Amino acid sequence: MYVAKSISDLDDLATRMMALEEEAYNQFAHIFGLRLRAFFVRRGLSESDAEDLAGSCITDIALKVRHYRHVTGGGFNAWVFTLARHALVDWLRTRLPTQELPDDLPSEAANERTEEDLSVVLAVEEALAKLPDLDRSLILLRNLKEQDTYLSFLRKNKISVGAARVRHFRALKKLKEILQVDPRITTYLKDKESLE
Amino acid sequence: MSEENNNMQQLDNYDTPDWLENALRSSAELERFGADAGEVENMSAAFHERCQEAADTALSLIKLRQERQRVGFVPLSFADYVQGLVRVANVRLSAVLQWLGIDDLKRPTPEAAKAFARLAKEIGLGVRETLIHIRIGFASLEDSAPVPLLVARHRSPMSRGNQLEECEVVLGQLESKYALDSLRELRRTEFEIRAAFHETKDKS
Repeated sequence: MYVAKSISDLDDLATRMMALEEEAYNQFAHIFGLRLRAFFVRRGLSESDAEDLAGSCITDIALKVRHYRHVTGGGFNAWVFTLARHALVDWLRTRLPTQELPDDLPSEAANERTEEDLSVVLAVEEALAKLPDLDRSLILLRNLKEQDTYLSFLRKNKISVGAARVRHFRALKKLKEILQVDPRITTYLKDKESLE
Repeated sequence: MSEENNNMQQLDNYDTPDWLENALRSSAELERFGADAGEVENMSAAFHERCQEAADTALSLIKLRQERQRVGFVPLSFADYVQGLVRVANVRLSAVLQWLGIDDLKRPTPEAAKAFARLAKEIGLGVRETLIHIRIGFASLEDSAPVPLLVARHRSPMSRGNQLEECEVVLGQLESKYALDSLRELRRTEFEIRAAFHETKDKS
């Protein structure tokens, strides 16, 4: 089966789904079934829970496809990802009431603001792209809190832990400066403030 | 040395706002999410089949929604209405019912109300129409005369009344003759369906 991969391929897939093309739905299941399952496993779900949730996401997200609008830089993949994140949050809320929830669990209200969430992530992605590769990697690896990957990255690039801290600090500062003047972020923060 | 440690600690405690932390994490995850495309061939046959079924369910529901938009309201029971749409749209109902966990489309119970409301919403029915379809179904189980005939009979040649209102009047008359237990079950089902509609409305 041909598998669409690029942003424009995936946008084309969304358009074909909106036109109710059966083959497009098969492709959607084929491409995103695996991405969803892998994402849920990475977020701590068992293989079987991840498959259950991935299956239910395939139906739920395909049902919402008529609401999809292309966002520059993000595309259909980013839109599906945002909905999957929300589905995971809902799943954690309903299935694991006594377990500790992740730190980055959005509030219920934020859960409904798919487009807004997406525009923030895309703004951050664009800002990250403006940083040197090393700074970008340092920020992402430290933020993912995967100590092993972070340390092996430092070893590979011959950077000491101390030097990496300083560089990470400066890179983060630079990132914040870029984001502070991004209208998507200023609007998001204004809306967030008015909600609180 | 201790000053240096202090400086290091300051760097570690550098204040990253929550929203930025979240966005950075999402950004990293999004990058990985797209990268998983390379492993498509590793999908097991069973999971692949499950995903295809899930996508097929969505497509069936979307086609039902489209047909429902064309057809509009018809005074039929919920089961007859949905099964009619299924035939016109030429889709498979079994996968949809299985996905929703509905065992018997002909018998909406208070316990199954949430699933019925979800099905109704997905095919584009409003709460008022859904309740009328449900009530018509109850009337047929109560062995009353067919509601479409009663509605036609109720309508005077001069009246240009709203079809939904006419149905509600006729159903109200029929329900006043139901046994108390049946009526209680119907009202509970209606209550649960209304609640399920409100719940999903608040979320959408």
